[in-house]
Amino acid sequence: MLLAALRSWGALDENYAYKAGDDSAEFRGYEKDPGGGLGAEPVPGQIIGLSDILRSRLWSRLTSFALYEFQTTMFQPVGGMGRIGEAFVKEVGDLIVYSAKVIKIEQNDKGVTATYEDVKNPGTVRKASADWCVCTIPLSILSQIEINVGALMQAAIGAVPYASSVKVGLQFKRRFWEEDDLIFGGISYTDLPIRQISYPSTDFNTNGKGVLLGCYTWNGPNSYEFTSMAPDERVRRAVEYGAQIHPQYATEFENGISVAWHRSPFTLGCAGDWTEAARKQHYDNLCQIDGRIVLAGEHCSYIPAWQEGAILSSLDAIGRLHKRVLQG
Amino acid sequence: MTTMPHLLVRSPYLSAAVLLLAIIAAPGSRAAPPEATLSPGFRFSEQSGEALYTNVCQACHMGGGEGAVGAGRYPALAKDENLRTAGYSVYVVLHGYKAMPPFARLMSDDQVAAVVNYVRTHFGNAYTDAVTADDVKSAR
Repeated sequence: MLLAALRSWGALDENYAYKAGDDSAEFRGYEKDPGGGLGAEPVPGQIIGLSDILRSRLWSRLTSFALYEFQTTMFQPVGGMGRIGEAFVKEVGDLIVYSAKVIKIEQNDKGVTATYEDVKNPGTVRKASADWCVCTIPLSILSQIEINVGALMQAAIGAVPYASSVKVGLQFKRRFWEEDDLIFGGISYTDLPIRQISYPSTDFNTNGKGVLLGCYTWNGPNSYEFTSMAPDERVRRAVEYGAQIHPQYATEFENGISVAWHRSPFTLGCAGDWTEAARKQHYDNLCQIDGRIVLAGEHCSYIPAWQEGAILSSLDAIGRLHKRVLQG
Repeated sequence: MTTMPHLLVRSPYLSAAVLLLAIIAAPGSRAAPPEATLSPGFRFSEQSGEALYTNVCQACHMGGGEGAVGAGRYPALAKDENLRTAGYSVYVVLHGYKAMPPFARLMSDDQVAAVVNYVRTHFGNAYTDAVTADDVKSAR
């Protein structure tokens, strides 16, 4: 049974060999593609040697899209993920205070008061009070803010390191990956420091400019190294490496932008980087209601770094809070 | 925002090739600062304390060790009293502290010692009791 599975999945011939021929060509493609009419017979291409494939460590990259997390069809809001936050603003915008740098959160048995600096008017300190507080400040920030919660929650707030991640967006004069290479969406995985090139899933076959995700690191040495560079150097290096995959970079590149989450002033990192051990010791303590304060955000979820984790954690927190309030 | 599994791939010849190109491309020109390193493997390839600081620690603590202030802050390492105890610095680099990630799996004992010694003798710090790789090993 295992042999049969290997033969079918691994494109092996009747002797369980992986070699140039119809079986492998059905998976890997042809030297000359099948056509119609006379002279249309396909010619199978030469295979890449087994040790070359293994040594390329291609297999380690292919696991990404085989993960459960990436198996379901994912949709993007038109205009990008930021549109979700903007949609909340449409509903509750009048309740939001911007440019408020929280410096203290204090609770007693009657309510909670957040003290914050209006960073548009430096030195101006204001207070906001309410019966309860749902706090969504990332732990990288919250662990530096005075907050009178119990020792267990306090320990949990200080127990989660924040992941390093860098993205580089590159704008090109034309969508050469579609026009020249017939790539429509998806990702090229690479062992270069840029790790991947991600192609836009929108505006297929349109003329004019296009933007690629030209680098996406997640933890590991390259993420710290890209973060340490000046923003324009990140772009320059991403173009340099990407040109090894798409030589068109050399003539089509226009400009770029980079984001290194450890340099994002309001998160100081990309996402809570939980370990199993840390979760066991701290996760429940982090998520439970402490007096009149409850935390929410991707750091209070098992889906770190995703907006879904943040939203699910907030629904859970609000649900438990509601129950607590009704119980009096 | 998407997340990416922690799967990194090795390409051992890359950095050397890129550095070589950079050198060849600028013959006879004034000595430019070395191009930032991008390590080819799962661990940092920088070896000297200065290279490790410039390519790793600088990501948060900034080029002059001055730290940074946003909604929270990155502590300055310049003139930092907390560096007085060498063992504390070694512990924080290895195991992290609050939001700071641990580096035990990304750096060797020698590398941790090198970067700790570098920070403790630069940016207005002048602590003379250097740590050794053995000190780091016993703190893992």
